Amino acid sequence: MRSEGWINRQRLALPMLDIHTIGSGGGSIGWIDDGGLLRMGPESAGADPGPACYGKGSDRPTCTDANLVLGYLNPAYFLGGDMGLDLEAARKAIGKHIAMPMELSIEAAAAGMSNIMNINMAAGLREISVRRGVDPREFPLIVAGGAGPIHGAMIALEMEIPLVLVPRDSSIFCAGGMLRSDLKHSYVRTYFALASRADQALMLEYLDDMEAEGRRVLKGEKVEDESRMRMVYAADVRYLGQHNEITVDFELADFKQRGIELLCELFHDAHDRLYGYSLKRSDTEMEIINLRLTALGITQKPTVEKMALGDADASASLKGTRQVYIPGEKAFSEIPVYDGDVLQYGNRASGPAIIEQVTTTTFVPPEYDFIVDSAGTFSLFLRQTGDNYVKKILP
Amino acid sequence: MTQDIDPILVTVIQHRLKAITEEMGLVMLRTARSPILSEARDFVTGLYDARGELMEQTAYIPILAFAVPLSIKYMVEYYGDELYPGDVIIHNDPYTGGNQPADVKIVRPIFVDDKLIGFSAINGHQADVGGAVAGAYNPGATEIWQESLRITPVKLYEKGVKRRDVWDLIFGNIRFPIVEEDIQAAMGGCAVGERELIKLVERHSHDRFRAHLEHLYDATEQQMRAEISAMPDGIYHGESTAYYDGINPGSEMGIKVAVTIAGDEINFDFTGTAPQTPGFVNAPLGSSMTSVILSLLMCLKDPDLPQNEGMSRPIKMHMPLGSMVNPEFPAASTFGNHLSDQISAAIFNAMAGAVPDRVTAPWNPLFAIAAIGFNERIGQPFVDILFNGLKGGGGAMQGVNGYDHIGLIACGGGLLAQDPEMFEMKDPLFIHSFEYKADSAGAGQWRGGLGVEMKMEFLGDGNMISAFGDGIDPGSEAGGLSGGGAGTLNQGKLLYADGKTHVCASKEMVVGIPKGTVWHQIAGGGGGYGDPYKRPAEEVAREVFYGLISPEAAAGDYGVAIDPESLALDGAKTEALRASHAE
Repeated sequence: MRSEGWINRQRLALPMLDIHTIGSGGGSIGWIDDGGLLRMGPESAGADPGPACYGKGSDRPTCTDANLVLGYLNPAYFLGGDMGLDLEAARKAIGKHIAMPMELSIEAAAAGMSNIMNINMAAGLREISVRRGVDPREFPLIVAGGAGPIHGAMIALEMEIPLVLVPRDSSIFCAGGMLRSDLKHSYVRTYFALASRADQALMLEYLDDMEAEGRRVLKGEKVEDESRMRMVYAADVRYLGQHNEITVDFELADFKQRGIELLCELFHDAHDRLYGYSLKRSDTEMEIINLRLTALGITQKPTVEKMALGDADASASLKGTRQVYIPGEKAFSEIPVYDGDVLQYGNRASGPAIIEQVTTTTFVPPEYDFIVDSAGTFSLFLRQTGDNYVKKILP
Repeated sequence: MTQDIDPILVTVIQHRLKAITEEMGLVMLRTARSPILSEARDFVTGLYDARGELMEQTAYIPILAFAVPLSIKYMVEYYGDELYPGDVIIHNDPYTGGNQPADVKIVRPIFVDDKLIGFSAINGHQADVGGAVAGAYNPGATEIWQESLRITPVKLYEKGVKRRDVWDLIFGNIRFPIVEEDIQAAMGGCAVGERELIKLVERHSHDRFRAHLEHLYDATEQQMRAEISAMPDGIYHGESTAYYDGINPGSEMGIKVAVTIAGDEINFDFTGTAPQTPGFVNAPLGSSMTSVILSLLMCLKDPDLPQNEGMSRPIKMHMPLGSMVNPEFPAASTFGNHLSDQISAAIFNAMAGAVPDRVTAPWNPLFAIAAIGFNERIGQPFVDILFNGLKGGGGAMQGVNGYDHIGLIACGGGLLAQDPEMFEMKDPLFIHSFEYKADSAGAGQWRGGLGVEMKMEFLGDGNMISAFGDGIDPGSEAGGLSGGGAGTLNQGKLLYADGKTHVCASKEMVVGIPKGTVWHQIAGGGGGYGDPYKRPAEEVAREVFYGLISPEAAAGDYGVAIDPESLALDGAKTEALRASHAE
């Protein structure tokens, strides 16, 4: 979390998750720049007209078109077969705009497009890991969205990330997260006073006002049961003369009992933790700037059903094989295709492989194996580092 | 001890070290009281290895940066094995590695398994350091003792225990209580640096960390050597002039440098530079070395070169002892940081012979005041450097205009102007106007950066100002390069309520300034680059429209005719003006 995010060169003071965005997706359009080099995006074909293979009239080649030509996508099983993909249209678009001008085969042009997508996304990951002095190899890569799992393991390979997690509901991951989030209303009331002269009764009155407002708004949002409401109380405090304050959370009952002294103590501790020192044992004055109340409406969370443990053998889910481009070998190869909607907890297989679901396709490169965990998540792990990981997954 | 080097880990460690120094900086920005620190960011944070070599730093103000290793190396030698976990050292003395008495260093030795692995340090400009004048700028000083309390390295804490006697002695000799609090902010920043560095080292083991750090130094050295190799070999001479030593009116001091580029090494020799002055216009070795490095960095191709010990290995320097760039004890030297304007002007003047497309025309030299008085509202004294009004324009270079309102070159663009509203809340001062100064920039195919004009009123009685800088005396303005014109001079005036006016010298102290007096300051522009008649007429017309250039200057300096009513470009007249100029 950071409270000084930047969006499009504007600084925002709202608390937000630290998110780095890159404009790369299935709709990213491939083009040749003035220097004759292949580029992907940031222009996107979106969902309508979408990629050339959607057959909605666009002839601009996109990432999805390349994935179709490379065999990562199955033209007959997009949306479980509800939407046919036009392989010929994809080939034509890539041929006309990329392969011909660069004097490449259509397959080589598509492989180039896919590779550039992976490199762009790896650069974005580097920006938030290596650039901040954090080693990406110590973290799993979680991949979601409809198209992400095709690229996830290739990006991880580029960054030497040993573990890639693809949630079973990858394509609705974000929407699912939104539905599980609690409702939240933040209130702030300026109360500017030296701590030594602060009026506790007045502060309690302000907090009461905000709490009443919060409860009223939550009721309006159908959070009627008081037990589903949670209130968080906080104050912004600083040492006299400082230019920045720290927000300290406190319990209302403690504040009623111990008064301003509680806020001072919490502030000293927070200051010490954040900034390496506090002025606890000096006579430095403190200032209170704001009082804050956050009213939370706790939503009901769906229970995650654990799957029953199956055996290691994944062959029951094997749908067949198909020709898929293997980047490391720069060649097509006939590889197994598993039905991701049938795979069970404990099932395990080696890459190269395709895991096909109605809304998502996952590509497992030759360097990775995969195992299904108890939540149904597909865990792709670098083969040479896998044994320890598999032990953690299995009971 | 041989260690396998993991190249990705080298990069991760470098960026982690950088991130730690940024985190240390955040402590200063968030918790310091003096606006010189919390707003203008006049400090540097860094991590140094057990020998005192620079591991990584964040130079909010570059001139404070490269001198820190000098003083830490001094401490390593001075204390020997008498450094312990929990020690905190304070230091400001220019004769034991400091750069300027007002820049006070807080240093923490860092240990893992009882072994010294390095130091965290913050060097920051404190609101006061004792001495004869509040705020340290004493233009009449002829010895260091008249400038500040001279603090050679001394422990404020030993083994985690506060040395109350030392603490009380030091802060008993410093005027403002906020300095005591801001020193604690620096101590907090160093504690954060220590905590994070220990975590980093423990995670990889010290041997592995050290091996990768050496590899990082070597890689950075190699990068620096490649940069120097790409410059043509030769000996390049440059010079510049500093005006008025604060004691003898009309004095001029020359700075001479011979830059020798030989293969992958570079040497800066200041033989021939004026002897040290009797006043405070002297640059201690730390200041001079930093000025050289930051000028060289501005001539490099790669702006992201990691800042560590490896970077300085191929750079040699010679500053003659007893000269203005390396004065002998006990010369006064508070002005030293600001001689970087003239030192870098001399270096750019020389480097123009080697890499003409990578040097800028001279920048507007600093002219500043510290305002000192009493704030009735909170019952406390105040001191503030008026950063808003002092930030003049940068020099232009081939292909790029100078930066507007960027401030002295020593700060490399890192100096922030205070927020006017915060400034007025903090101090009993009121800003009447604050804007770009038209026609201040040196004309050129690429023009210099614009300076600013500011008017500010004292709201209380009994104020004093200490003016320090250059660019006031004729000839001291930022000159042009390759046919470009010079920027304008600096100017500072006190307009008293009774109608009297006092024009300030470049180094001067004025006391007893009453309520209602207005300080009127103009910071000049930077030098232009290339023939102004080659600047596209449309570009000149656009800047006339925005009020950055007057129609008169457009005609006189650029040969561009502008209709004074409509401010539209007169194409035919312009062509005629420019044609007659060509003849």
